[in-house]
Amino acid sequence: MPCWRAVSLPAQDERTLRLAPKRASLVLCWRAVSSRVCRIAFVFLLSLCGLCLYGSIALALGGCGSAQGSAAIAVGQTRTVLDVNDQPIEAPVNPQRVVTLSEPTLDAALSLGVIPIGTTAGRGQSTPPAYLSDLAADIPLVGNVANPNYEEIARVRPDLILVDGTSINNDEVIAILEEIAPVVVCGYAGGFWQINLRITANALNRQEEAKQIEANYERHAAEVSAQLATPYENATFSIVRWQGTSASMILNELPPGRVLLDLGLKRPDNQNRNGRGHAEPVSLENLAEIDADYMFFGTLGGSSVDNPQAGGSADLEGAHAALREAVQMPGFAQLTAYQESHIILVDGSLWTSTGGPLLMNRIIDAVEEALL
Amino acid sequence: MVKHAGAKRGQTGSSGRGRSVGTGCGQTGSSGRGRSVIRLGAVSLRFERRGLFVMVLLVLGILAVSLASLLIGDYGISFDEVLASFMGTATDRLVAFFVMDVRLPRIVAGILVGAALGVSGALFQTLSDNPLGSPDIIGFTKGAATGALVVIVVFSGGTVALSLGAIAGGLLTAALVYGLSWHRGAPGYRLVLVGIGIGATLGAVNSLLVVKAPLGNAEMAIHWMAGSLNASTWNEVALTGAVLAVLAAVVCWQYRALGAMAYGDDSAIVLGVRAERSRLILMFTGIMLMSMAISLAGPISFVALVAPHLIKRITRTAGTALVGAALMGSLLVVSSDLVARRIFAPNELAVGVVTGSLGGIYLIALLAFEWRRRRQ
Repeated sequence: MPCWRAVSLPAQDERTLRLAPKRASLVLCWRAVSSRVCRIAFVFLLSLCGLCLYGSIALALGGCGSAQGSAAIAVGQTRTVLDVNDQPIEAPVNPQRVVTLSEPTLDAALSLGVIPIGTTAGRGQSTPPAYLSDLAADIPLVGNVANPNYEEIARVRPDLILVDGTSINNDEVIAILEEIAPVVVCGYAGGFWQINLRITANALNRQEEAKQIEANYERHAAEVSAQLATPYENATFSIVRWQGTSASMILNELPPGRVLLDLGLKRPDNQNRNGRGHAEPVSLENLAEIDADYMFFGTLGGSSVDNPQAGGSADLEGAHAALREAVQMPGFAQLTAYQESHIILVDGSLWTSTGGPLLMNRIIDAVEEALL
Repeated sequence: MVKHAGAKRGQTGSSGRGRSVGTGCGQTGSSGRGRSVIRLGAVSLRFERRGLFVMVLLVLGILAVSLASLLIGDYGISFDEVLASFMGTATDRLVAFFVMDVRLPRIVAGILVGAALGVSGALFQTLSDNPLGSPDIIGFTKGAATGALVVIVVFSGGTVALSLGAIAGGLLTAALVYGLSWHRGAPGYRLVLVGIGIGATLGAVNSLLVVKAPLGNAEMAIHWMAGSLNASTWNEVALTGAVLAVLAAVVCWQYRALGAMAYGDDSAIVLGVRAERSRLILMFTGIMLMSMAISLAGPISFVALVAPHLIKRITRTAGTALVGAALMGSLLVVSSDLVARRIFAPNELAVGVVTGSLGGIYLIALLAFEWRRRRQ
């Protein structure tokens, strides 16, 4: 104990104790009660109360501050748009400075011809999503998936912020973002990309383009599907994300799973179901679950909330490295797909995270290239 | 009492080692090196000057880091603007918002969390009579995290529910660990071993909860588990602060008992302490402190273990240092959070990652230094 020590028995006190035990212990108790307890109690309580008081005063001040000039940033005409929960939001008629805080909203905005002025790094990556590097590489980063940097977002002065459930599910975070600019929540994790696209397009006031994009996708899928039907009639396809020493499967509800459904490609029975909006982990003793006639095999980088700077790449190089590790796992070399050399290495940012219409079309292209 | 605390020193202690100081009250004076006594009527306060010096330094350190945290950020807010925000005269609405509603609650949250973790660690280390007996080693933190995760993942609960879940998880884990390690009397080292085992199991349960959750909840859970102050709002801070103030009062009430129990239950009973009752109350308080801290910021690692050790080594005392541990914990968390915010800007680290690294490195350095000195 630094300054208010636990009741100790220094030499002199011990002597007193020997001389008159009863009185000495009384003295000790009284001294302890009178000085240390009171002192500690008051210092600690006062400081905590002070903090709380300070907090509430600050809250009051902050409240006044924000009430005074709430229209500081919102410029120009606004109109009411609905978010995915049908909540009305006042958004600018022609948003000029859009920040997207998730992969699907970035993808949808780019597909609609809007280049955001700020976005988040792709899942597991420390750059914008690798599969969008041709369109998004120069967009400044304003945080990670699920971890936006409020001040950086405010610094680029957005007039509209687009998020969705694949990135931000925390009401408190959204409340803070709403102080910066109008926030439109465009979708849920594991929801349909079309719904996300429609809400994004509505927020950006580009509904017609969105319809065109959906129609183009359906035509694209139908074309490739027709070519795939005969050669792959009875084959099954698995989508695997390999991270370090563990595997997970992409099931039907995630974008790559939906592409395979749209192309009429079959999944193995255990993968032919909806998951929970994220890749389904498979423990190593159940490794056989990832097996199929063909396996799309990718990996994401190591970046996470714990370590946003972690290395590892989500591209084909990364997939090569991941496969080398996977083969070391007992049982992997016995999988049908491996034995028949039907493992198709893919870009993990494209196949094992999430996105919008650009992602869907590019996955179709990747399937076409690999199988036809 | 405020006046007493602020009163000028009546008598100053000796500077020489072992020289005792006469006192006006005719009672046993303070002895030992570097101690001073304040007396005012029936109330007297004895402290060690080195300890007081360290405390003052810690408080100054916390204030300095807090000021730096208020000033440093991506939005680029000048000192004048920070001042204007405090006065409520800032012209840019967002400047006022970031200073008062983003940076400030985050700093206060860091101070509260650090203090709670530090005190909780000091309590458990004293009660278990084991330097490793801090809640993050013996599984209590993991248990509280399990409780909170159940609330996030299964019930999608809010702030209050999350705190209650953390407290329930912490208490149940403590009951389990103590129940399993109790064998004819106080548990001692068995507590640490059983605690590490239970902690490992609960860690697996926590991972399972995240894996089996839908993405929305899983993402919240992972973010929370990393230990982050990113979404600290005044509502949460005020709630936690109020509960911590009550807990601080309980600790003060039982403070003498804790000091006496540091010398073993027998000595404590001789001094009139109801050791078993006090132990229960203090353990309950320690678990509450830890649970409140982690419900605000997630399971921030290492602070509860390291803060009491650091303060003991710096002040060179052997007893339980509650105020010191609280200040040291606060300084650790507030400065780690600043590092976490800035080191990879504009990306943010979770504060738990930084406390783990910094605290760990410092403790290793101290232990290595001490080990070398003993060998000589």
